[in-house]
Amino acid sequence: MKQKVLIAEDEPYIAESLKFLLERAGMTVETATDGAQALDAIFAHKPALVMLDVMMQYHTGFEVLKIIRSDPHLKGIKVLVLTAKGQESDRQTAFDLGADKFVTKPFSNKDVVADVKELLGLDSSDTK
Amino acid sequence: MVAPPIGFRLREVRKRKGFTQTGLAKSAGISVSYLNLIEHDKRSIGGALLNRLVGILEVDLERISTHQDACLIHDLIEMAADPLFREANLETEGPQSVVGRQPNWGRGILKLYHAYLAESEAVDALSDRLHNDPFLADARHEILSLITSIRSFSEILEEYSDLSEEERTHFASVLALESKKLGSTAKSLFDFMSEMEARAQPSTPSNEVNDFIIDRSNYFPELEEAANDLRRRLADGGTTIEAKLEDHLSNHHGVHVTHGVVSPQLMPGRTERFHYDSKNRRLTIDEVLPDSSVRFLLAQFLFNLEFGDTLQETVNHTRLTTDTARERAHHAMARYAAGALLFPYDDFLHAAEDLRYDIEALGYKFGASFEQVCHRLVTLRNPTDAGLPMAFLRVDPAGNVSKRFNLTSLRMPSQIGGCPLWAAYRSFQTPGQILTQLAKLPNKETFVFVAKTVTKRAATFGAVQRMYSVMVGFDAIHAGRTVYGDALDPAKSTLVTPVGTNCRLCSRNTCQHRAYASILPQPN
Repeated sequence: MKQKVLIAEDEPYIAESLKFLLERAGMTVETATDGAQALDAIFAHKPALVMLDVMMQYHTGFEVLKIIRSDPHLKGIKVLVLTAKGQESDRQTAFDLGADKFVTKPFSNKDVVADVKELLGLDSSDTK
Repeated sequence: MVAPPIGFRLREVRKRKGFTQTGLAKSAGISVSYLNLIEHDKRSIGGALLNRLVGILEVDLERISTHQDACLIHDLIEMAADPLFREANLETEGPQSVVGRQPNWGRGILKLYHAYLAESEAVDALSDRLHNDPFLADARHEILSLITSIRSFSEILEEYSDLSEEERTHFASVLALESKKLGSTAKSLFDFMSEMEARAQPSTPSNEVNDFIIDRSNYFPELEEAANDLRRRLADGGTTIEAKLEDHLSNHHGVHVTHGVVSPQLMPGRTERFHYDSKNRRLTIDEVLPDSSVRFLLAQFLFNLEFGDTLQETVNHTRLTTDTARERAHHAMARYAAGALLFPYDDFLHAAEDLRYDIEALGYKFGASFEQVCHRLVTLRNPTDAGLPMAFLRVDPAGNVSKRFNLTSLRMPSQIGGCPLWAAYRSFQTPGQILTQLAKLPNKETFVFVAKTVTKRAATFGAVQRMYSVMVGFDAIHAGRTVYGDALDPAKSTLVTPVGTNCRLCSRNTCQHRAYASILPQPN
């Protein structure tokens, strides 16, 4: 069965490229353009992994992460935080709130797909 | 305060003229040992003995002792207080020695230091903007996002050979679109950086303007004469000076004056609340301004129209080396001229003496604000008919100095802040009230400070009012000539406030208000 991934990213072309990459890697991908949409999708479909952009409207990525980690119904969801702000303080905040991976933009397609596969326990040779 | 290096100068002149110490001392009727002390500035000299010595040496008194020398020494002492020189162990008598022997070297060293400060200030300003400016934060985020999508789609096109024609075309068009946006964002960023660089005003032009004004002892006879000439030609106008000015602008320059709301967008980078529509020759003065400010603004505007060349010639001075400095000096001279026009020198001086330098009374008599009166008082420096010598300082609540004028014996703060005990800063605790103070410096010199906060009215609800403290200072020996001296007796120590000039140069080691460690040796 295909793993479900939610991409919460307000930059449409970044979301599109990630969707393309992860679908090609064999996953089912849903997208959300802001924090409120992301939470709706998370509660509705409980994806296996959420890629969270930090800078979003309505709820930031950190706020969504906090909600995920505080709700027992959402236990087990893997979270990869995506951000253009690569400062050490943001990395620390992400891990303090319970993120599993922290990726800064711009990222390498190969690396981000490998990160997602690692978090989902998928074989890294399983690409395209 | 350090005295001008008269002794060093005398020594230089004596040697140049071929006099021995013994010969000069004998001619002047003093001992050789006393002359030696004088030449090393261990003894002060003035009056008859100084005149005798310069007479024997056949040299102008002005070449021996100048106000500019004293200011240069003070500037070098202030420079030496910078932590930059902490480990240089600069000799305390260095500034006097340098200025006494090679004053141009002293000016060169100071210019280099000011250039260093200007560069440091510019770097700090740029660094601060880089970290805190919201435009830069947004631009950074946008650029990184665009690069992310461009990189991702480029890699997809390169690595996925089985893309459909439709996918390939779409991804290529995304690349083109995002690349175009990146170019546009990058250009906005570079334009912004260029604007930031242009706005990082160095502090040197302000120092150049101050030095220029000191060089002229804050007295400009050519502007006084022009103001007198203009006043005579205004005599046939309306009944009030404001009406005369408006009539003259209308009848002789075709400029129509109105009073209304002036939006801040119409006066970018300026604090004066007016707008001049040169095409329609309409001068709009903000209705929020008090009458004294309206008169001053009209006077300044008219003087610029009638005597623009005179102003230009006045600021054509070797002290002003940049366009920024000349522009600021031009503005300062226009304001000087406005004061000369509204408050004629002779009338103002005589009134000041009659009213015993009561600033508020002078304000009522001449329809002037507190600041305008203070400003005019410090310009009463006609060598043949001078008023009470005064220093001037204007600061905001953060201690930023926007205007200053020194006395030889009293330096106003510039680069490294002043003494928090001065009336100029304490007046913020009693806004709108005149604060008088007997301030005693560590060298025992005592001055009278008179300070008051002034407020520039805000134009709209929610706008922050601009508040300044305006202070004048004069030697306490003149206190009896003023109303402020009536309640201040320098002999009564309880009325005297021990102050410094700034913490780094102050030896009062028990002062509870010290902000920085002093570089001076502390008294035991």
